[in-house]
Amino acid sequence: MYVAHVSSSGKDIAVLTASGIFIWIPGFERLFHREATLDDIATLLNFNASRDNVRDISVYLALGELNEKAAIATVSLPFHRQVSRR
Amino acid sequence: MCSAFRFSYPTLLSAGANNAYLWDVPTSCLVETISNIQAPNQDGILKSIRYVEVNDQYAFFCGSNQLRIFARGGGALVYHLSMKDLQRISWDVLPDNSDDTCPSSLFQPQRLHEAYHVSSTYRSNFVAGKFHTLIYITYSLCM
Repeated sequence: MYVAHVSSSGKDIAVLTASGIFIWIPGFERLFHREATLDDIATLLNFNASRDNVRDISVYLALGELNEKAAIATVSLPFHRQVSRR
Repeated sequence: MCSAFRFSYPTLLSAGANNAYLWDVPTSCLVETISNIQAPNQDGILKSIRYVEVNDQYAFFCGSNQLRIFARGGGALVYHLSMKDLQRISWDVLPDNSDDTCPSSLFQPQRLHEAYHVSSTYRSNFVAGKFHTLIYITYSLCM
């Protein structure tokens, strides 16, 4: 995992992996209280154009004070640009 | 040796190779030590610590192998997330190659592509409802 931020409410977390997967987990305490599973509550967004040749692309993650804004910065390596044009 | 630190007022969390320290900055007091944060579990160890986060209830450790969440006030490991838990990716975020031209070269529209078959209407509303704003910045690295 590359970076994680907890919301100002303390209820939600945002995680970014080095390979560019963003995970938003609202009400994350439900996971360890066994009230929900990761599949039930998490949203996963993949910012990596290639799943077959995963490389580290993540640079930065910010979570807005109002909790519903996230900013993600990645690099785009030449390999990924070629794949995206297919 | 400090691997990572995070200051979230009034707490400073600093992580070493296997222990973490929480300081109350206004009083300059070490208020808690979380030991053995690298203890192996069924998915291995944290490995190298890249980032840490803290609030009044939990300390979060991002290792290259896992995310671990420890409860403050005792240091119990309450949750861990490893890469194998992320196989069910619902959405790929890829450049929108539609014919609509973008008025600014600074911004490139992105489109959500379903990674696996899921109910499109439900999932779209689900994702859209989670964020008022999602800003995605990427830049090319010339090699």
